[in-house]
Amino acid sequence: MSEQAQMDAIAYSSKMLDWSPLGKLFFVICLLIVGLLTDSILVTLITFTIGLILMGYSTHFRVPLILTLAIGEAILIMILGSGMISIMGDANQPALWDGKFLWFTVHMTDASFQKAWVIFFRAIAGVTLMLSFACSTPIPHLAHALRSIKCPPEICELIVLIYRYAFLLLERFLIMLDAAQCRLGYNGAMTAVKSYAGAMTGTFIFSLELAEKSEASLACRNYRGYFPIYRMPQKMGVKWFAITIILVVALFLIGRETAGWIDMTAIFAPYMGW
Amino acid sequence: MHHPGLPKVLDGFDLEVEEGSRVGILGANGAGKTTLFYTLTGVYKPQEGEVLFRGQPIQYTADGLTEVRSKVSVVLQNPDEQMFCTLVEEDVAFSPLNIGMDRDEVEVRIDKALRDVRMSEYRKRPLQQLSGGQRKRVAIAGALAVDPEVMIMDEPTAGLDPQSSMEVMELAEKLHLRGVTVLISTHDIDLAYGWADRINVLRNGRKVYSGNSEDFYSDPENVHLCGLLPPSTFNMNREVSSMRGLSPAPYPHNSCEFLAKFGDKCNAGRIFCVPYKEGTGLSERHAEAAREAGPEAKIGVYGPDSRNALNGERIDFYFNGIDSCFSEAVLGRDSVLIYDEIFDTTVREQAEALRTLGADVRLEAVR
Amino acid sequence: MSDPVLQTQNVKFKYERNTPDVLDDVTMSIERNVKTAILGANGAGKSTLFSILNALRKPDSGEVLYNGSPLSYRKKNINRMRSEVSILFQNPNDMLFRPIVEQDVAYGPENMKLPKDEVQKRVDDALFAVGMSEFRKSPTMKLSYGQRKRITLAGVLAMKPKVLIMDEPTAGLDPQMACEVMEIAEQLYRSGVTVIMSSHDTDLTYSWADEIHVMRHGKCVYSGPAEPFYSDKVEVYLSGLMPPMAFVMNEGLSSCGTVEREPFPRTQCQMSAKIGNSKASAGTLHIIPVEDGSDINALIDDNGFGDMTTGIYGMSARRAQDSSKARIDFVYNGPENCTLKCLSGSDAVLFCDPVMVESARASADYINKGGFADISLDIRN
Repeated sequence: MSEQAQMDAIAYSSKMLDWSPLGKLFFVICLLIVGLLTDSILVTLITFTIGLILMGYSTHFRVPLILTLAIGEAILIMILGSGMISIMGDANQPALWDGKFLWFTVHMTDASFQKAWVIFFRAIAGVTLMLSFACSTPIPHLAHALRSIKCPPEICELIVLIYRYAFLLLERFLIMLDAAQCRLGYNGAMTAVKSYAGAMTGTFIFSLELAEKSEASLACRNYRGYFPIYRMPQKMGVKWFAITIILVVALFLIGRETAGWIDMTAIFAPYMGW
Repeated sequence: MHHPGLPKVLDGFDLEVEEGSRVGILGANGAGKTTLFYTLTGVYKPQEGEVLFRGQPIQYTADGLTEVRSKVSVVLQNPDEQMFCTLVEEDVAFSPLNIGMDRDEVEVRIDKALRDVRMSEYRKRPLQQLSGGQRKRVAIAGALAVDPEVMIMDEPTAGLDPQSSMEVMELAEKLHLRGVTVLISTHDIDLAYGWADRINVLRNGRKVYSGNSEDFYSDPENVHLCGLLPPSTFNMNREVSSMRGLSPAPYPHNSCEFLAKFGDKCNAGRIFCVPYKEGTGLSERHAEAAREAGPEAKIGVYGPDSRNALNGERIDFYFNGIDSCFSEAVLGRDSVLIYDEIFDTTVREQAEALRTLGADVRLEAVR
Repeated sequence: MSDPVLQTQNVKFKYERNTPDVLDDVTMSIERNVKTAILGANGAGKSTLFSILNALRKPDSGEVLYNGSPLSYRKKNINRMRSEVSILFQNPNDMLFRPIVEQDVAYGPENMKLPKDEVQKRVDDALFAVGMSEFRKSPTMKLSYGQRKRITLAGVLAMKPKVLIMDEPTAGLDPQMACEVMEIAEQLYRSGVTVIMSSHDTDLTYSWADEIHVMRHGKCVYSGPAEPFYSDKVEVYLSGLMPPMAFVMNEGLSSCGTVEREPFPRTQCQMSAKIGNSKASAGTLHIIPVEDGSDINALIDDNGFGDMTTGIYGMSARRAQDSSKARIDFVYNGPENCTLKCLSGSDAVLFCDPVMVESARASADYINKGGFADISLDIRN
């Protein structure tokens, strides 16, 4: 199965499936904003921990390989990014490390080093929070959430339909690639390219036929312009609002008090000889 | 219902479906069966002619169509084409919610429909995790959930394994007994032959035959032109009857009738009938019937409720129980038949049909 | 003697970790040139098995052997194997890669890097074989489901496989077209191709296959002739199948002594002969081998077959009938129907391909051997 289908399966087996999607979205976005506003490493660490706990809870504390890979990948990219930030400090400030590294001119200052860490933790906190939302909220729930905040209905219905057909098209595309193999479709590079093109064309034609047929079959089931939801996901109650706001305010205050508490330079100094 | 419709694919089409009948719609690939079904539910509006439901022309307005579709349900051949939700229960609820049914009522319907197709334990599963056969069952549940008065099924058994096909046909029979008019299109001529009261044959968008199966299949020229072949029971009956110097009528439609007609005449056995009412205990009655019928007797079951109620009891015929038990009886052996109460009529009709073929099967009621 | 063409040994396979095995220790041997059917309920693992046999998937453990040697899963070997072992998928839409019929049929041969004129010839032959020659320039999108099925069959035939795996070849087809597909399968078998077929239709496979393999929950639970399997009601039930009607009726009638249990009738006409057991004299079955372009009308006139029931069987016979515009009584199921006619005392003539003579006379042979009737056979050369 593809990654998309895997994510979907994870979302449907999530322990947080029944939580209000809008509530989850609100919570995650607020936490992200706090993380961005603060300069305190402690706060980013806290939001990161919240994200990890939520993700663990959502997946019954058995984080699937695909999520681990996603986080790992993100961390790798951020290490590179933060690394870049840390070595491009203000040239007027005293350097912790000065010189040439590969083809970069390195000028790492105390401020740039600290800043890189804050950004790094902000980023991974963001990723884990977003993933904890993604791995507990199937797209139809998201569409419903959007609908309830007065997102245009056409867009919501489109999201649901595309989502539903994406799986069917993907299924079809994968089968066609198999069929191509059976007919020696990868016998040489040019042939392989042609086979992929053929499979795509086939899938496209299938999508056209499917669209045509679904119009009639939707009518058969008396479709009247919107997709009803039987088991409504929970509404975003006051509880969600209250918890989020309290947490945000608390984190904001903590952030103000604790900016600079954790001195990464001091932590690293003994090891690096600064 | 009366439909002199005339869309592009259908031409000069006149069809009458009797309330409460079992109707087979036959025809080659591309004969217009699916288009006909869409026309009957008001999806396609005929360019000429009209479609009448219970004598009233369909109103092609939102309310008129909702009215029709809350009475007429369609199951399409390919389940993927008619499923739009992600979770099983959501999809089953789709039609009932669209016709504006009350949510509490929807809950009852979903529950019942999923039980009828034996998919209750998959209720919360996403559709794409299900196999083709399971999706088909969910599609059928989706149509059942409307509690239709007319049920249209396009190739309901295509792609299903033999036991699942049997279950679907049991369901069709059950709907018929509840008074639902059932229309089935199929390429499985043997299946249609055993089941339908009346067949309508389509060719190139025209209806070329309407009536009982035997008269149609007796005209090989026409059968050939329609892209069909005669059912094997029909063919064999004709040949064996002519070899034995018998008249082809009465026509056997299934194995037990065939055996009754051509087997050595012996004293027919008894069938110990256990009509099962939902919610009552089954195992004691099973034991009682098995005791009365003796250890040699085979035990058959028919109907989803009875099958669900079984709990490890000995069963010899899990599927096709009626045909199997009557075959036993025709061959002179006793058997036990457990069936959903509603199939009482089917069992009696079968016994009656066998009587005309010379096998006097006795039905014994088990207390 | 056993001469397996494809074998699996203790094959295990699953699509994802932490899920149950889709194939669980499957050991199966498919004999060369034996009509083989793979049976099983929805989800028993038939299609997955096929993808393993065609090296689309590699087993997690266990081995697949082709012609006695294990598959190495090196690209070169796999390509060679795939040019000899072809799969026909159940849904023709999964196999259409190119917009025009002839281009699509040419897809396989072109990928085999065959010379242009060879490709051309194979496309011609394959389209001819499935009776779609006049559609060669049509867009595939415009074709009906049944026509698409024929095109994909042609696409596979054009690769001239030595082993052909057909997944549910008759599903969704109307009875006549299903009958034609079975005829093509029979003809391939007679021309030396090993045909493997999966199907839910136990009646159909019962009349066709010599050997069945039954799959259940990813295991192969039975391999061998059909009758011993169907005799075991519990196994049949657990496997999600139903015994074929001919088998059920034969069991019923033999259990109360109307007929002997063996030989087992597998087709309508064998069943009818066995039950009918008419002592009246049977007619003669004339079997006339024909080539492409034979004039069937002339053959009928020259031999004085004018009043007899006529039937055709096989691809060349179909084309000969088409070109000579002969009026034929049984265009489908020719051998069965003609033999049935003979049983009721009249004579019948069957025009068939030379390779199909054995298949054409099979039912008559069964009937004569069992002593149910005495059908005279007149086989011309």
